Amino acid sequence: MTKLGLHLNLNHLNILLPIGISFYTFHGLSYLIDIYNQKIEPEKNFVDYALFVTFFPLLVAGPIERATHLLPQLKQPRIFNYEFAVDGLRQILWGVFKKIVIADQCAFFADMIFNNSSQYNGISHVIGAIFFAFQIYGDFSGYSDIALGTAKLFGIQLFRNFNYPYFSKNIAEFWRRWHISLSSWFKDYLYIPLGGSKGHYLIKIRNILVIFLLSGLWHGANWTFVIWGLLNAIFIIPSILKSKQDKRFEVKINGKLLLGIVEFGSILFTFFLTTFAWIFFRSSSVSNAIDYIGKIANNSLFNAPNFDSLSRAILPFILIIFMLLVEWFNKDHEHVFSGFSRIKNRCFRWLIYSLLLFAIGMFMRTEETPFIYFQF
Amino acid sequence: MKRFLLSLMCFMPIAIALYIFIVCLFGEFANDLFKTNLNYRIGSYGHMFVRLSEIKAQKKIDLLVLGSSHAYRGFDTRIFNKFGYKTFNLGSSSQTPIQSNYLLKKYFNQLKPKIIILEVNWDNFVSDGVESTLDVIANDKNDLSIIEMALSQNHIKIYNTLIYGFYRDIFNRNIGFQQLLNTSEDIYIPGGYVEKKSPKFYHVQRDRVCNEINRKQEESFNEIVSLCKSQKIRLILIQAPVTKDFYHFNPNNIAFDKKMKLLSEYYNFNDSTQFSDKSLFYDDEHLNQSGVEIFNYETLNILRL
Repeated sequence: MTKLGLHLNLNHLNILLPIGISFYTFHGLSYLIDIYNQKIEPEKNFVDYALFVTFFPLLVAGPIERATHLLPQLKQPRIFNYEFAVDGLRQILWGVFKKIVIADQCAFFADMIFNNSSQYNGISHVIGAIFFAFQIYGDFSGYSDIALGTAKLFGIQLFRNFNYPYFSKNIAEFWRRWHISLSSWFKDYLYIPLGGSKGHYLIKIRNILVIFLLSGLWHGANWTFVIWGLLNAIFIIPSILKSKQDKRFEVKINGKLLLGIVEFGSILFTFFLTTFAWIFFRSSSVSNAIDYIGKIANNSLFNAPNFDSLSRAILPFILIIFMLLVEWFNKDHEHVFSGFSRIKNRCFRWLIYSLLLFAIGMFMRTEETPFIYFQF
Repeated sequence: MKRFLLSLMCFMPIAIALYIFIVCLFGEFANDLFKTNLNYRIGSYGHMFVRLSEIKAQKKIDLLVLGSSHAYRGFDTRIFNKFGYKTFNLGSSSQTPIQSNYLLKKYFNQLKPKIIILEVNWDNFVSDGVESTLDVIANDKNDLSIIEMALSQNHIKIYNTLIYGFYRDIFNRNIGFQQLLNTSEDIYIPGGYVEKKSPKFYHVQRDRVCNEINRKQEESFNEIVSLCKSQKIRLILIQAPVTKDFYHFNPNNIAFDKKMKLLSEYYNFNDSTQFSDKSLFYDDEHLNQSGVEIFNYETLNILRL
């Protein structure tokens, strides 16, 4: 390899890739696999096919669509649907709020702590990890809401990509709610063909490991993503191996406004596990991630945070709590404003939109922060 | 579709009106921690409030100085006045060509300066200029002309602060405000100059941005040059001295000098060996009073050319 001028270093798998390649590759693969499985006929109309491949709201960061779902919609004549378009705008509004207020506010602190890890104590590292957990959620689910809302303006319904994942009571449920279009892609095109959760427990474990390691690699050619995938596989294996596992996949908290202590504890524990895994996802290398975790584990975990701008961290915390409350009370809907069309009082609806616009204008970060998933 | 567009058109003015109302309420009552994008600082660090209050009484001057803190802390109006140049220093914190252009246009007819010194440096040409615009909004009586500058910069902090600034101006909320002329660190000298009290040097850690020149700054700068040419006003571009370490950190110095020389009469005092001694500075970017005096006498020699 070296004689050919290629230098392969297994410690550094950073490869320059085109923007959105992970998304449109899987998007295109689903079309080919569905044709192979005779679920759809090959598309004869080049314009429809080209639109399916390049439909702009989902091109760079998903959701990963299926030909069976999107192509029939694209072939329908476009008829403007008022309710659908208004719902799209509402979804865009919430998506923008999540991205440029929640995610970007959290990004400031997450970047500060992850990029200067040596300066901060244990509790600051915990705060940094929590901020990253909400940064990536606000960033990616915000993008998905904007993409889904934009598609609705054109009369197209895309796959729902997030279903309030931080309200999950276990990791299996989390993966039913997080990046749903990718999870379901792996489930339909890899997990089930491999045998799914049927058969000997070693087969089940193998299937889970394959899915999550590939899911990690899908995010990028970096060991941090591989370990992130592996951790998620390890977290999910106990619930998969248990009997009646299918029921454990069900989304359980819908419809409940108040939780019991055990349920609340489960949600917190699941959040802790996902946040722990996010440390690997966010770190630039595995050694940095291990170093970061090591700093959390030291004595300073019980001291006060030691970053200068501590008082400025109050605002993102309040905003996160606001977002969680809004999402909690609307968790039975596709997005937080889905149920708004049932509110007859137009003044009330417009007041809420205006307040949200004000929150965006007052609390958004003004420096440019690209979407995290644009790198995948 | 018609119903959709009609609803949007009805909603937008209501949303804008509510937005303006809430910004004013927020500016009045919210804690500073939550005013992320509303930065109204009347009587701020650079004495802009008192300078702009003073300028209202000024008429027909010989020399107008524009620029950043290098200008208002670098050109002592007492020295220029002593040598027969009726001078006003209209520098302000982090002032960039965008604000220089705005202030020049606003006060040009009133001041009718014969000579303009525009303090220039690389950092102000790459800056977005937001910080300085906020300084101007908070410390000046705003009129419609500032909207043009706000729109050209198109920044949410500027819009929010401008809304609140208009509210304070309309409801006379700044009446009675007085800024201290003599603080523990600085003394404001009539004519716009700010003298540093302590000559002791302290190093300021500041990240210098060495990326490309901001197109809007360049456009504003060109407008200043054009205005001076059309009004037959002598425009002198001066790069004020900074410490050698600070100056040589920027790899774009030669290119910047070339660009300035092409556009107008230009002097870079960082080429001079007179300012190589750190004892003439109170920090990396600003001269102390001894340094200011040397700098100003050198500038007077230029004015006499």
